[in-house]
Amino acid sequence: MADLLTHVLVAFVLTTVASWRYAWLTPPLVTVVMVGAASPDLTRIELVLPAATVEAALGVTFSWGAFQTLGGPPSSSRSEPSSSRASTDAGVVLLLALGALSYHALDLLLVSPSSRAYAVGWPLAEYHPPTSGLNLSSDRGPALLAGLLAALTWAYDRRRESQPVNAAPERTTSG
Amino acid sequence: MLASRRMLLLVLAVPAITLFGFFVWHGTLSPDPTRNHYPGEDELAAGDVEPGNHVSLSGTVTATDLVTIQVTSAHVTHEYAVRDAPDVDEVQQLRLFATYTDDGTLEAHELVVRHAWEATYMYAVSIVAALWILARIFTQWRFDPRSVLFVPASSTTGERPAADTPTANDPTRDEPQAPTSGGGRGG
Repeated sequence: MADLLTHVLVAFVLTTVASWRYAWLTPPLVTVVMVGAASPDLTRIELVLPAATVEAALGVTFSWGAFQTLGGPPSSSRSEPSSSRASTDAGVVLLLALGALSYHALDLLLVSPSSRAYAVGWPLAEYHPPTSGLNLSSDRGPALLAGLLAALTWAYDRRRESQPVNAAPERTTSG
Repeated sequence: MLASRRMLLLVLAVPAITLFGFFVWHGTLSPDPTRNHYPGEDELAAGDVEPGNHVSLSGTVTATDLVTIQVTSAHVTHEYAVRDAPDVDEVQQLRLFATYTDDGTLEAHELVVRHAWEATYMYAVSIVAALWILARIFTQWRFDPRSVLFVPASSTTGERPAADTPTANDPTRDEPQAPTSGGGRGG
């Protein structure tokens, strides 16, 4: 995987830019996408609680790897009550899924010795797609680039917010 | 109230059980080279890999004359000699796609070398990212104990009785109630 910081920075940039077009995409919802972009890395629970330990304790097969698939993050997101209304709840799940998608899109660029990625589409497909081998997960370049873009995005976003709004004031109904 | 509590329990339990099911199901997946899913550390340690087959794994360099890596699987560590390896230093990490040979060595086809500090770097920036997200969550979302849900911190849920319901001897009582302007976009 690219490092977590790159994933989160990219999600921040993409969503903040989108929020200039879509006013309903408020900062709390930008955070939701960032959480979604970080969610596949919950496989790192393995470092704290190895799946083998869970298997030994429960007597069933177990793998945290499910987080790093299409199936894992959406179902986990619903286990965390995240919003007050059912309609926004569905939106929140969608935004989390979008964040997770950006994660997988970035990770398919990575170098893999077998030139194949993980089964990103599981449980729908067990296909291991080829990777492009563009960068290593430990490369500093992507994080630097994403950090620079994020700083520019943040600065421009602040400028937009502080400028007087010429258009009719819109009443956002967030929440 | 009871019904809504049951509903809430259901809303929490169904995805939790689904997720648990995914973990168990994902644990049943076994390598399938025809689908480019190659055996890794666990299968090699368990003796499930026949010589001549491909493996995809990573390990830490423990010897450099004959490059040897220590591979950690679930509860055990094994050492394997790597043939066709480049010059490496001890404690470097190797990720490799290799053939498991008859003599128990790994014949490397593709190999990525990672310095020890690179793993440290990745953990460090990942912690930065996690803290950033947590900070945003804590400043932009708040837990609403009444509905047992997280709501955006900027949203007004009408639960501010002190401000919203004027008392009988409140002199401002006759004025039309102005909506509290707390629902703007938070930073």
